[in-house]
Amino acid sequence: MNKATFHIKVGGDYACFTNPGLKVERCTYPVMTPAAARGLLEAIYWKPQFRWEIREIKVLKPIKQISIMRNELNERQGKNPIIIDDPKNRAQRTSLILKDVEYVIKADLVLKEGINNIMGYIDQFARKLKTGQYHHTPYLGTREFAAWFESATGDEEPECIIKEYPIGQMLFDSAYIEDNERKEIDFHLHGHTHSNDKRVARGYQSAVYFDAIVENNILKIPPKKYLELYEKEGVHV
Amino acid sequence: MFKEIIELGKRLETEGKLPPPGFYYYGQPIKWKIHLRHCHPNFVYVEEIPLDKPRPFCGRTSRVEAHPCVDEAGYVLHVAKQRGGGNDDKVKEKHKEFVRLLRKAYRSPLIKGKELKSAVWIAQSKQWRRLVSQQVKSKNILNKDWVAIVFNDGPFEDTSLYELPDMQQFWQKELRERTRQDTETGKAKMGVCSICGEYQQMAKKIPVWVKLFKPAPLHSYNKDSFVSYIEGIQVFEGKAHLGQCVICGDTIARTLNYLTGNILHYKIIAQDRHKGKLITDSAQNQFALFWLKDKQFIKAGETILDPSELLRNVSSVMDRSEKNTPPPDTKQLENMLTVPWTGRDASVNIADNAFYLLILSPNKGRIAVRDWLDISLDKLQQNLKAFLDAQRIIDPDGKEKRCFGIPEILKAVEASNISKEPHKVVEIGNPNVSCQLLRTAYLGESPPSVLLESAVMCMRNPKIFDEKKKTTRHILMATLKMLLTHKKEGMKEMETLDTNRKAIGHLCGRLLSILEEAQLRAARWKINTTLVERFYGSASSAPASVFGTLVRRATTDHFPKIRKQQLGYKDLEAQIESVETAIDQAGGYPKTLSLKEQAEFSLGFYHQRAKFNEKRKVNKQNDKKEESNEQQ
Repeated sequence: MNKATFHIKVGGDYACFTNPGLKVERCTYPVMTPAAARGLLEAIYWKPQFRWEIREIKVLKPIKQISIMRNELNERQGKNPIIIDDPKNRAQRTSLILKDVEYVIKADLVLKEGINNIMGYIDQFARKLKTGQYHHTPYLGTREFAAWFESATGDEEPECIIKEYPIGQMLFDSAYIEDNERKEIDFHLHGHTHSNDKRVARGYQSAVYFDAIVENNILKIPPKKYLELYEKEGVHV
Repeated sequence: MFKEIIELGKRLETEGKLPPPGFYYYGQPIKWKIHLRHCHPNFVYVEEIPLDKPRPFCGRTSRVEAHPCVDEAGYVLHVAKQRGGGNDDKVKEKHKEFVRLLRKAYRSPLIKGKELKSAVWIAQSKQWRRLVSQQVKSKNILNKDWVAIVFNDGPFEDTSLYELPDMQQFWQKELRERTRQDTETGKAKMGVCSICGEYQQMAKKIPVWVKLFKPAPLHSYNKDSFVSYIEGIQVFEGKAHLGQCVICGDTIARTLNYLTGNILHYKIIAQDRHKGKLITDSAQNQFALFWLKDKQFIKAGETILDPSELLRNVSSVMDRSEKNTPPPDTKQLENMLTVPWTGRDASVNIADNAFYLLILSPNKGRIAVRDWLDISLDKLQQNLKAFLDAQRIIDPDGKEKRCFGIPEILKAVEASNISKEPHKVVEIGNPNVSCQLLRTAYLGESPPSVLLESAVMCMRNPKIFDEKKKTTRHILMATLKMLLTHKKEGMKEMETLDTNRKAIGHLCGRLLSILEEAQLRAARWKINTTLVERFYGSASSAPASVFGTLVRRATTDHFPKIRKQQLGYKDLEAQIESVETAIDQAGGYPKTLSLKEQAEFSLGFYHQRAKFNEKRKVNKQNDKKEESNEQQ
């Protein structure tokens, strides 16, 4: 056995699952993306020895959007403080976000090649779900929209029925590809035998999309997309 | 959202309503045509003809980038003379670039056919340019005037070269090259397009802009996405591509331009004006673009509506009145909503058709998406009906019931906002509320609660009771009624005075109106200001502090006069008694009223006042009739 399935109920007051086509003045997808679900689960529990693979996302609450405008910083925060009094450092940006969201994520904890001790990981994750512990605060798309989570009971009923809702192309996940010809980003690469086996790699990020349809409140994620992702990254589970 | 826009774009392309990919409608027409001939290389004829047609567009600003076979005179003819004097320093570079592009076109395998190749070769030659300068008209050509090259003989006689399909294909390829983003080794960055899902060359920008007030890019390609700081990790600036292929981005931009240029698909919801001047790059401006998924005919009762008529009616809640004109009428929409909708053919299901609404705002040189609404037609009918039914209310004279559009509501709330000086009337209101109101109208969501506070506060502005503000008052009351009754009970009952309504706010409001009527009758309507202007604010928020005194004064001062002068004492006495009894039964005058109760107060006051006004008008009419009968 190299994988275990979990059902996790998550929710929050607001969420922003940004469409990469509208990334600065952000516009959200109407439903949580698999990448956001993975990020949320990784915030609760993650080890280099396994990967989260999202199978389904069940939409429990009606899709409500809200438009907000905020004063944002132009630069990302670093070691040097940013003087926000300077108008050059600020920009007024709008965001189209989701309001009052709740989902049940069905996800597989899949061990990487050569790793066997799945029971230990299952226990640890189940314990964290039960006690509400996490590594860093889980969030719904962007860090300002924190999420709550709990173990799903299996009898969660949606508040409204979404029979069929074609979304179109939706971000599945990002592949981080090590490439010396496209040095666009530095990212951590983890070996899977030791947790300390970590290095900074240089390369680029490539987005993978899938044709998303919410049917009977469930967004099904095609498992073959994970193979495409791993093929791009050169990592095999 | 992008999916629906692309679907519309493809439909419009097949209908021939979109310009070709990479083409754009400019503000200025093509001013000059240069006529050439294949058989006579020395033939040149310069024609001045304003030609408003879409042209190739590469999104250049100050850069030197040429378009094939059509461009500014500086590019095509090496004309340096500028409007208002002075010469263009870059003209040599520009012309060189134009010739280089034509030579590239000549070598391109996309330019097929001997005639076209020969035409392109002639177009790039120096010979005819010398002849142009000898023509009298050429002296009027200025650096920025657009010039097109046309051949007067051959298979494409009198057609501008840039309009030929081969040349358009060459331009699309050229555009893909210009918009591609390269890796450090000079290869094009490839990736999956976030719209079509195809593995494509990723664009670093989309050249075609979207025209709202002025053209601006929709996609936020001018910035890398914001990445949170992670220690030890860096993201190299300026490396991000758009995540889209140029064709998808271009189709979206051309489709949005079609919508913004078509009055049937486009409405201004909010404008930012400062001292009467329009601020065009402010995010307070909001533009609604809307369309239907399918071009179906629908049956509304016995009437068959074509898609444009349906769209016009459905969007009438976004209509706004011009200065000093009455609010637009929603009667046609109301009539359309009272009957069930079906497809014209039994096989057509209206639930499969949808209404899409996109709200855009300019924001400092780019365009931001503010909202996206997507609703099936059957639900749209229900929601619009609920929106209008919730608003419908009698006018201040008690004559007719009506509803209002969203811009009118925003305008009324802003214009009578107590926090603003009375003379500072804002033309169109708060854009944050407008989005939510659109959602209420089309999606059936609850009305924005912030509007409740604003509308209640507006009623505290003494200016609102001015005789000239009747329409504003009517709109404010329609708004308050909508806020209280949207998709709730009492929607129908509250259209006129409901004497059975026992809400404490409503009763207190009615009582204030009755007391005002008593004062007016006692003074035989010969007073300019009544107790309402002085006491409305405190009566609506803290009734217990005011009504004791007001009722005592009425009974000691006003009612004896009314009785003596026979001005309807019994009727008024009965009304005051019935309202006071109801208030007593509800627990007496409340110390304070909540915001919702204050809204109820306003409605009770308004309805009771409208009832008195209605009676007064009827009495006046009867008096006039009697007078005229006596004279006869």
